[in-house]
Amino acid sequence: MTTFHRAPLRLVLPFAMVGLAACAGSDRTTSTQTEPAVTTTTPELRATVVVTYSVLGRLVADLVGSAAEVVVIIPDGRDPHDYQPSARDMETLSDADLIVANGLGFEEYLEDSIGAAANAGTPIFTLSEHVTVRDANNGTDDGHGHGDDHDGAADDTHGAGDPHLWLSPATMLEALPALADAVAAAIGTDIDPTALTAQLEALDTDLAAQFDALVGCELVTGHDELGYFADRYGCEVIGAIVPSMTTTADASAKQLATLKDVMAEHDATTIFTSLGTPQNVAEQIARETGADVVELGTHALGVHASYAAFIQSIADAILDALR
Amino acid sequence: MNLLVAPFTDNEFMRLALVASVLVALTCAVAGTWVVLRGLAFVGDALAHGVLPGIATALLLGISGLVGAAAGAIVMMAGVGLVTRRLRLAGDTAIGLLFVTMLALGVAITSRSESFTGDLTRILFGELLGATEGKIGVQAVALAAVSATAVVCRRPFLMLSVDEGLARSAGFSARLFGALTLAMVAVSVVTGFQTVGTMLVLGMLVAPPATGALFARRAGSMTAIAAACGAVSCWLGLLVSYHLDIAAGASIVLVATGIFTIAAMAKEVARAGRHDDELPHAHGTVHLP
Repeated sequence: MTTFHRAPLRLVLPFAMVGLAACAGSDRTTSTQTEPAVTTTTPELRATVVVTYSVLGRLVADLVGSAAEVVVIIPDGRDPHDYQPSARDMETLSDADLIVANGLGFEEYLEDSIGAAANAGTPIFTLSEHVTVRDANNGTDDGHGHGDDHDGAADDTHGAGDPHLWLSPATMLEALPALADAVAAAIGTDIDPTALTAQLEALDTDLAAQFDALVGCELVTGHDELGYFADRYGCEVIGAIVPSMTTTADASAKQLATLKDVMAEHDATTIFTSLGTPQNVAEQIARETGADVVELGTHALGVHASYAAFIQSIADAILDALR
Repeated sequence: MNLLVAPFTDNEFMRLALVASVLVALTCAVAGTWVVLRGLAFVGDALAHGVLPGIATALLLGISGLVGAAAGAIVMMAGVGLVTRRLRLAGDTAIGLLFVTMLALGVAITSRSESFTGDLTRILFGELLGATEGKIGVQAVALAAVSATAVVCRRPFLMLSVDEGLARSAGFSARLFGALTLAMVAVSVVTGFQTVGTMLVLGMLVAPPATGALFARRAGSMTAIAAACGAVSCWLGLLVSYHLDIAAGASIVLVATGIFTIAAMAKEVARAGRHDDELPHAHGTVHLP
């Protein structure tokens, strides 16, 4: 039973009459920890924290509980790298008490809208400003000899940092105290991060132990998305179908030939794909290298009822494939 | 020599991409000949983008993008015919209207769907390096169908490209054979988008036949030159992608348009050269040393 759900349209309709703000808030992925249905709350009266994407939204919801309504802009299952906001998204953003964003160019097409809300006085919490950011060029580029043209172009628009912060609970832990403070300041209610911190620390320790037990952890991914995860748990990302920080780049023949060599050299047996990975390309490379394709939901929350459960499921999928 | 062949012998994905793209190039060479001769490049462009909502809807419903693209192309062609005939608007106005409608519809569908998984890039630019035997089979059937149509309807197509009245006086229905020409273009676009994407399939439809038009005096030889240029573009384009690390679909189209540019310049230089030879005779008094 998930408390993180989408409000059915018929329940939303009465709110349309209450006011546009209510409408903007309730036809979105909405979550509360204690109340099962959005309709039992009155969005006008509750503080609203708007989060750009689903996984971060889940973490914020885990943190704030019923103290605020958490509204997610990018629908879960859409590729956050190329999501373009609608006029209603703009309204949701401008009505927020606090906007929580990832930063580092991850929400490529939302940045202007968030900037506009910030100019209008909405407080913004940018996750990447509160964690140790991983250098984007530290990833699969090292030593594999493929040209930098492709990645260089992507980096220009993305800054130099790897935006896939949410894939390591340790990275999220760094930001939790500041996030709790920011939410508290925005909604005027104390937010206690202790329980969530304890939960994530336990998860982190647990995962570290599970990956320690693994003999070698070399990952081939869809795009360069597992850097934080790999760094934390002693894995190495040896290559990617699209070696770029974003899914909006395209594969080149040279990169694929290089990837095949690297996979053969490392005896890689699995390609971990995600949203936006060119599926046929991944399958063709898998066929030529004798590897399996495993879909990882790195960019979508899916059915998971908590951020910890989301991370655990990704870790489980990787462990299952590599054991 | 190794640089030119080894990438294909070493990598199955390169061989599949070559076969798939050459089949697209050949299909486009046949259909594109009539696109260039009849001045239908804008319709081709409109078809290439007009299939977007069809593909997006098909992917949402979990059916083949090919079916969706075909449906989109049929709606597009029927719509252009209807607007042109009923509203007496110029063809390019009708095409422009439908083109933007379909394109905007495609973007609207992909943008608001919550289950659309970022495949827009794949639709627009194709997945050439992920070519499969299945796609190659479909493309081979398309090539056979388009070639058969072009051979059987060669005379009416030729007359249409000169003058509609000429075709009619010879007993051919301008509407039927006009529609058949569009159908060939639609089949090329609908099957080609899977390989090179909807943005780039137009490049294969126009650039090689345009190169053919520079040198050929007959439709048949124009198609032959287009086919050769298209196939060479695929091979060279894949090598460029392999050696220079550039997205494959874009490499092929850039090579195809590059070949046209070089061919056009070569022709100009050759003509200028001939003029120099001829000038002493034609304008002897001016050019005497």
